[in-house]
Amino acid sequence: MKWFWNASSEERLDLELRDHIERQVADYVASGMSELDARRRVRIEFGGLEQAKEQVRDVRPHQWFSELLRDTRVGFRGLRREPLFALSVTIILTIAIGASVAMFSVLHTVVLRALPYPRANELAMIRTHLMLQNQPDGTSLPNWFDWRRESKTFAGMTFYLRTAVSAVTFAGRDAPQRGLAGLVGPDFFEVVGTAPLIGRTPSSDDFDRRERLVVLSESLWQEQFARSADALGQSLVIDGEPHTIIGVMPHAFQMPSSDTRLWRPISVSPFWDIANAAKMSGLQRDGDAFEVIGRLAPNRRVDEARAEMSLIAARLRDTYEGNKNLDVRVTPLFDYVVGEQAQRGVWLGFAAVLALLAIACTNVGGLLSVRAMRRRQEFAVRAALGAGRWRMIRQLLAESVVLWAIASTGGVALAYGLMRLLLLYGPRSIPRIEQLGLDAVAVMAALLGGLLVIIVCGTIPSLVATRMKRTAALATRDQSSPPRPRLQDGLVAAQIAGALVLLVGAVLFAESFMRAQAEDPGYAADNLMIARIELPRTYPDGASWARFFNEASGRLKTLPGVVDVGATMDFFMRRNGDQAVTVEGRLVDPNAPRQRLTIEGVTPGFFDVAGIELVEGRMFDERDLAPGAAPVFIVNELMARQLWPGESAVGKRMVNGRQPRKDGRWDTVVGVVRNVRREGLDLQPFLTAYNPIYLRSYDLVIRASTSVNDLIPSVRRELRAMDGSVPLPQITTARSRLSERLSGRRFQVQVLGLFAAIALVLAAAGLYALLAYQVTMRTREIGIRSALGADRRSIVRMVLTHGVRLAIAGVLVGVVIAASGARLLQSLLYNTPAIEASSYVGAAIAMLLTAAAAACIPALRAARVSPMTALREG
Amino acid sequence: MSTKSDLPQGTLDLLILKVLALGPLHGYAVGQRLQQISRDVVQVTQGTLYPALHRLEHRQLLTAEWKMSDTGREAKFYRLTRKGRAYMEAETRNWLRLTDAIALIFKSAEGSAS
Repeated sequence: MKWFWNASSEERLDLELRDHIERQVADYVASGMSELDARRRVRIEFGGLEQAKEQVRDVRPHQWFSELLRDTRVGFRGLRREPLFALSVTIILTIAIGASVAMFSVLHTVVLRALPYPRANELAMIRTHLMLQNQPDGTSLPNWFDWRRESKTFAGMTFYLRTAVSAVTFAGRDAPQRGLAGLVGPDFFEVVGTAPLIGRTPSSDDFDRRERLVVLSESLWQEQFARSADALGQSLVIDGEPHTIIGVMPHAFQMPSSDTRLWRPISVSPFWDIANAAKMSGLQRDGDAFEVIGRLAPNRRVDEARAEMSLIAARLRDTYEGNKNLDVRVTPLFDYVVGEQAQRGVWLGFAAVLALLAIACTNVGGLLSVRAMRRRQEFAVRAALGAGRWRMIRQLLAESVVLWAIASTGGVALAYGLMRLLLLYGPRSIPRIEQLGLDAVAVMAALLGGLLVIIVCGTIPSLVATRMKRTAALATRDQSSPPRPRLQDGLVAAQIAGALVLLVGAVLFAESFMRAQAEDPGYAADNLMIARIELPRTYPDGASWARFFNEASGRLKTLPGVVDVGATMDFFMRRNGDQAVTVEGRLVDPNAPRQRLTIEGVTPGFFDVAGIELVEGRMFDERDLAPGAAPVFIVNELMARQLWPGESAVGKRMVNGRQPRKDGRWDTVVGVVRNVRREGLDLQPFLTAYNPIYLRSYDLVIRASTSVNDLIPSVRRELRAMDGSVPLPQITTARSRLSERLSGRRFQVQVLGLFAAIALVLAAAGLYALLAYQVTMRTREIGIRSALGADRRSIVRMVLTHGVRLAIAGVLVGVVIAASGARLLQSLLYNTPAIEASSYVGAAIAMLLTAAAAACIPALRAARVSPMTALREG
Repeated sequence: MSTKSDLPQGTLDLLILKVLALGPLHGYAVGQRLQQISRDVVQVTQGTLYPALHRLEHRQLLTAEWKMSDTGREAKFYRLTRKGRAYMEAETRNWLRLTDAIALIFKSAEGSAS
């Protein structure tokens, strides 16, 4: 209730000063003056009552609260007088704050927040690197064993096998579930440093005894056991073998990946024999599938580990034949989980939102300063009535703070909505994005940042507006042109520059996206369904795999809409293409750089089903699979051109592997097919050879004549009816996979495009508002000009020239900023140079046209000023 | 309205305290008394008097209470607090020492000039 007390103290001050006046008057009357004269004299001597009060108020400290309230009330009233102004400022700030909070939350969630492991910055991935191919590869257990033994910079080093997809059968359910299962090395949980939620993790004894154990993820525990501790000790059938549940890992434990459902010790698999025998030389040491993770010893840095590991790798290269091509790369776990591309992309988004925020603030700053200029007269009157300059600034600031409070509330709500949208419709490819939420840090940062910004925006113009001689502003009644508003001109040019930078970014990313989108996948992607099949152990050999495929194919083809069915090992490349072939009659140079190459098993009809065109030779047919048939290959165009430049590949012979077969037999290339973009439209095709084979786990490829999405349930039903022991496949369509792969790029275009559009509108509005204000202020001058014979066209030209000049200045500055920052974007762009004249010219033209349109309205209004009214108003 | 002789910085506070040391007064009376005692040499405007009174009140060198006055209206009477008295005595000593020193300098300067 302090303000109440203060209000009454305000009354008392009034009483005290009036008492003084009365006494003075009484004294003068006593000395013989008439009451009227006495009062007049006192009034002259005393000066302004309000002024005196103000002086007293200034020495009274600790009244900021009541002053603030009063200022706020006045601020509200001031804003209500100009609702359009208040509304536009609020909308601009709400959008800017909302977008910033949302983007900052993304930045915080994805890039700034540490991984949820204790001392997570000590964790690093230690990966094998193929020197000739210059690409990463998995690590073999013998190498892991040597690394661990020799390294001093790592306190612990363990490994996992990521790609193990297991079929899990739960008690009381007949259909097995598929789930990502990690096969983990000794000390895996200890190295990562997370304790189980309940139960325990495998001990080294468990590894030695090769116990069949399993640790569940929290999500699996919740789904299957409703978080009951009874789960411990129960048995789970994984890939046909019973495993005992010993523990549950908390949700935050997301190694190797966030969708890992369970973990088993590596000792349950035959790999462990290899590891235990690793001391023996002669084991295959390259090309394996394990990922090694280590924890740095206390006070060791990553670069120390790098130096040490490359020495160890060099030593191993000298010792083992299999290590000849192998180096080691040490990457902090954080950079491994949150890839560099993602980090860059998120920083880009954040930079864009900061640019937008800056434009919005500049815009609001411009609006506030124009408003302050318009109110110079009001301020002059108040100054004459005794208001101090500080008081007037404070009142202007109070209006800003009121606007900020409304806008930041709206902004936080908007941010929340944007984040919900992002989670629902945004790309899944951003790591850790699923953890996105409105967090206190982001909200605080936005509120404080917004406050700071609006105080800066609000103060500068009010300083300008209140810097005047009291009498001057009153006397001139704004008849003369106000001082040339260089500040406002600069603000508008700055907005145009910022908008251009965003525009250039949006154009570049749109171009990059469209170029990726327009790439030919090399196959007919429409109406193509992909279903991953993993046959259980009850299918032991090639003949049974062929039987399963042929039966499935026959059944599916009876479904209305299904045209044809084929299969391939891996429709979308999930592995490294690190295979090699040896061509007949050609010496193998072990030091020649090897390219990415994959050899893919397919069913005979696969190419027709997928719609991959034959360029030369023939397709596979069933005879190629008959027992005793001559082994054959089909290669893609890239491989044909690479291996047999200038001649036909058909009829040439080669074998899989790095040396000729011992028995001297060769396989024949019978056909050449078109290149296929295996991994996504924005990734280059690579050398591929196909051979005909039936497999145990493969991608079933189903060609439909209608929309494939409607077929998914019936395909599932059909497979289920055939053999219930086969895990139900994950089914996707080729189209959706391709579009998913580009979703990150699409999202970047959407975000940047939206920001650029907002920025464009803001910059245009800023220019319009400034010119309109200047025209109003110069009405008299324009009237005189036209009275003196200036024609309308020259007046239009005068205003338009000013606007366009500002726009050109802004565009030039913007181009320079964009071009100097563009290099940072290059790695995010597909097939699009970051400095491409057409993008810049396009953006500049769009900006200039918008600016010219915005300048036209006030220019035409200026032309309509009639000399008579202008002069009369003066 | 101007002072006939400009007061050095801070002296107004001391003069107000001195005047109030004789007994509680309202603002107008403080101004009048200063004028009388100084034989019109010191004249203060309300623009300096009231801020000074409020400042002193805030520093708790003065306290104020509203009392019925001779005019039949309530008036604000200022009174010296114990803290104010101590402050005033200390400041008076300082002031006297300073003026003695200045007088000494004037005297010796005159002496050497002659």
